[in-house]
Amino acid sequence: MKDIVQFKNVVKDFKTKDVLAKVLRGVDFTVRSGEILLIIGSSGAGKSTILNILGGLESPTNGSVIVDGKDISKYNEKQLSDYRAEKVGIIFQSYNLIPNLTVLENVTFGAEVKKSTLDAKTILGKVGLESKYAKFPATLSGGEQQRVAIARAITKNPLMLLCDEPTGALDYETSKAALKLLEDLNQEMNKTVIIVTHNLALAPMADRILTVKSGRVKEIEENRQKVSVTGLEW
Amino acid sequence: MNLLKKLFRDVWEAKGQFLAIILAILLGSAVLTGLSSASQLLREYTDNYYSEYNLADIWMYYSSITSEDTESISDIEGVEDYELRFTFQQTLLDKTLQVYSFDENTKINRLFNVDGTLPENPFEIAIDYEFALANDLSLGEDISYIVDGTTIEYTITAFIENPEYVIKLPNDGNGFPEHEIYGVAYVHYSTIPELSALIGIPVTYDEIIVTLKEGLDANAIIREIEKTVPNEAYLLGYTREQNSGYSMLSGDIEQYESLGYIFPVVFYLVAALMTYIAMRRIIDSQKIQIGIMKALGVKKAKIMAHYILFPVLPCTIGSFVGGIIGSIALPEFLIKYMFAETYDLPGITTKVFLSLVIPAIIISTGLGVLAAHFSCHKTLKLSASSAMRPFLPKSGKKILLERVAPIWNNFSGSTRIVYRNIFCNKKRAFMSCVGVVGSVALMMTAFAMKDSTALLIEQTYNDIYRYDGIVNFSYFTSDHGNITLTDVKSIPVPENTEVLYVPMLNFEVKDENKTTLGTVVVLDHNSDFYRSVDSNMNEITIPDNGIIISKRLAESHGLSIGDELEVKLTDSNYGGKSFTGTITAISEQYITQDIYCTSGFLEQMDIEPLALTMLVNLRGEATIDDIKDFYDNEKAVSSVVSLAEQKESIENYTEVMNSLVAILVVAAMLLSFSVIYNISLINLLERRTTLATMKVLGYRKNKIAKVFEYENMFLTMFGVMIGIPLGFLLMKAVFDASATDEKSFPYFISTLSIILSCGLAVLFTFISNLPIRRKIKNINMTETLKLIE
Repeated sequence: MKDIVQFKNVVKDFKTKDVLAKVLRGVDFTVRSGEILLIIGSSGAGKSTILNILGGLESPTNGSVIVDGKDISKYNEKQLSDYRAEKVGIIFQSYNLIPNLTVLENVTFGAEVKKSTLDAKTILGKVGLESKYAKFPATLSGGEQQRVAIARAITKNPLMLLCDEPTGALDYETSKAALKLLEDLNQEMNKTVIIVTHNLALAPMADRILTVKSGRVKEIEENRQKVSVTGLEW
Repeated sequence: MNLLKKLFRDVWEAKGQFLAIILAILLGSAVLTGLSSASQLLREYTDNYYSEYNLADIWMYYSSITSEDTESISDIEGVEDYELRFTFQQTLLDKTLQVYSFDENTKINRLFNVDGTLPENPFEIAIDYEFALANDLSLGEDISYIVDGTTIEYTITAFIENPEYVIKLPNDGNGFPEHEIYGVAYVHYSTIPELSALIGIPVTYDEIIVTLKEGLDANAIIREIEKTVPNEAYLLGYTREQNSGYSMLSGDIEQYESLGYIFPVVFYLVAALMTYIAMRRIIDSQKIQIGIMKALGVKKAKIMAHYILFPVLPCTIGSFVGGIIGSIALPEFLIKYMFAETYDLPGITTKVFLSLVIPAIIISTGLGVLAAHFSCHKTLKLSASSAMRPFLPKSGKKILLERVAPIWNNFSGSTRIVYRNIFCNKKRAFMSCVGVVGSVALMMTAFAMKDSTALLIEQTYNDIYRYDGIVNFSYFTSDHGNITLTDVKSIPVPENTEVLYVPMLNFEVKDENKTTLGTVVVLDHNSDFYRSVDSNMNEITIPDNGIIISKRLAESHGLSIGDELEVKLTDSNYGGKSFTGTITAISEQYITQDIYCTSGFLEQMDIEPLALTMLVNLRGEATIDDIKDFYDNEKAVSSVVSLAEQKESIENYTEVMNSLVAILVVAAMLLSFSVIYNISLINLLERRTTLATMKVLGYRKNKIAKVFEYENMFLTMFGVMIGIPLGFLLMKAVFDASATDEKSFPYFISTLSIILSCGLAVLFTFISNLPIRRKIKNINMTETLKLIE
């Protein structure tokens, strides 16, 4: 499998008035095409920062990030916008749907920034929301909203899906369903999925597990016995 | 104490909105206190000027009168004092001086000495300061004038002003002062016998000026005097209300008072709505904090007091600062530049009436309290627990536009966001428009003031007066006694001219409330020189069986077509004759109070009109100066008036008004900017997550900004559409408030001005959108999106 992402000695400092926080102190890892990569670590370890850099939401202070053969670490604002539009689909804990757009519109709205996309209705069918096209987000349950957010991310047909605590706001059953959806998309469409979580119980569903501690990669573990989400309990 | 700290933090966080509220309130308060200070100042000044220099209450004119004739006046109850004067006009071609006699004992209409020493000897003259300035005269200079062909030389000893002439309008003028060609002068009484010896005119008084005790009906006293004093020589009498200076000045002061109410209403209304919107946003975003305060046991009144302070603070600061600025700057500007251009108010100084700032502060603070109350009383009523529950985002809704599938389906997601935003929050959207509505209406009114005056000038000088000059003949004597038209026509006419002899008779029209002085223009047929037009600018034919009156005369006496009108002629050669005519038409003209009729009509009324006026149209290369030169030594010609010069004097006056227009436009611009900027800021705050989401999805900064700009533009367009009709209403209200008996302004605004007002509103929106882009750039995606409130 080919590497689609390469983090090379990535450093990220946050400067406030009188404090310098070294969040990432030299991170190296790769992401393989089509895998499910789980990034775990305790709060403040830097896992979300890794995802944000990968998602083009922030730029690293130092080091390089090669995505699909291009170094995105020196991108300017406009290039980063285009990068976010073309390459990544990001899913947050808060679903961040646009309240004034219907389910279908939310999904197509995400795809409007990109040239080649998937069919929104097909994807909504895949996530089980074909009956809710015309609903507004506020009328949906949390799980349904998260599924709309996933559909929005996937309809863009990005290089990879980035999920930051995707189930943080959901109950057990709904969380499982959402993760199952991500797993299915990974298998059926061969999408690379990167999930940031503090929930170690999810580890068995991943191809690889990246553990982050104090701004450094502690270890990258290959998961030989992959288990489907349906078989997991926590 | 802690709440106070929180308040300051809230203010700091919302500083843009805070400043915008201050700005709008500041503008309204500046206009309110400025205009009321200006009118207060003028009232105090004029009251003082009139009483200090003892302005007469009654002026009465006779062809001649002696002091014995008038002795009985002091017996009339209510008469405080009276004096007799000798009056005459002196002319040096187109410059006319209205001259009065006075001496050391003069107590009524005393002279305000601007410079020099008042005349004490024969042929010493005091000249009005403005005339002296305009004609470059200096103290000690000798000026010579021609009276009935004899040259008379005066020495200027003083420059003066007089309360009976706060405005100096030439008789054949257009309602605006022309200092260069018309002035007032006073000679010592001892001049009169010597003058009489020189030119052989009889030394008789011809004017009585009377002062009354307070609160008496001057018109009734005039009737008393008419009875007491020999009647055959009586020409006319009038009160202060017909003194053009007195009435125009008090009319203008009233106009400033009414404008002082109309304009601030617009500013305050916009400011109040803006404050309400800003408060709603703050209360909504602090719903949970309010819940926490309640849960902690903070009393409702205390929470209320805390939130009331937020709008009250900018309203109070804005009104205080605006009030001070307005009361200092506006009277200074209005009096020095506007009033001084028209009126002669010697020794006027501006001062600041701090007490007039108080109403502005009370109104503004009251608006702040109301805005706070309406924005937070609902939230405050909630129980602590329900207030602490986060605000559920308002769900989207289908809007009407979606039914039009061909349009809706072609809209991109961002366009759909805009339309749903607008139409799901109609109330908010409407309020957002208010700023634009207000500024469009203000700008239209300002531009209309300019357009209307231009139309007035255009109409007066192109449609009605279609001649280039007027030659006035004095009532000269001829070999065979009373002069006739043949005598007038025997005076040579310059080459390259077309002329028309037109009788212009001074008249007086009276009803219970009012006396109006004007001119009867006698035209035998419609001519190239003079037209009467109806409201559609079509020419009206002057009938033989009735009279046409001008619109101002009709309006000031409530006359309409078909009414009978009694007209008294006041020129001495008509011996005080009257006639009654049926009004057959009203002439659409905005200045002067004229009556038009034919000589045939007057003959039926047993009046022989004599043309002492010749209208001149220049042909070929002739100029008005040629006419003036031609008549330089013609003793029968009293003056030559150039229409072009008259027109110029009005145009000068309108230039001053243009600066007022500029002030209004700037105020409208600031108002519009403050509102649109404020609304955009609130929009931005409320939709931070949507914007951050768009950024995450990969929308470029400019594209996101466009969504905002599109929405603001849509609202601006909507505001413009409401603003146009409201602009017409505001314009009418302002013009009605500005109309006086002498002049009114046509309801007119050019298409260009409407387009310009709308265009400027759009431009302001565009400018206030500029800082928004920077704010969008600064939205932090990760922080905004992880924050779940």
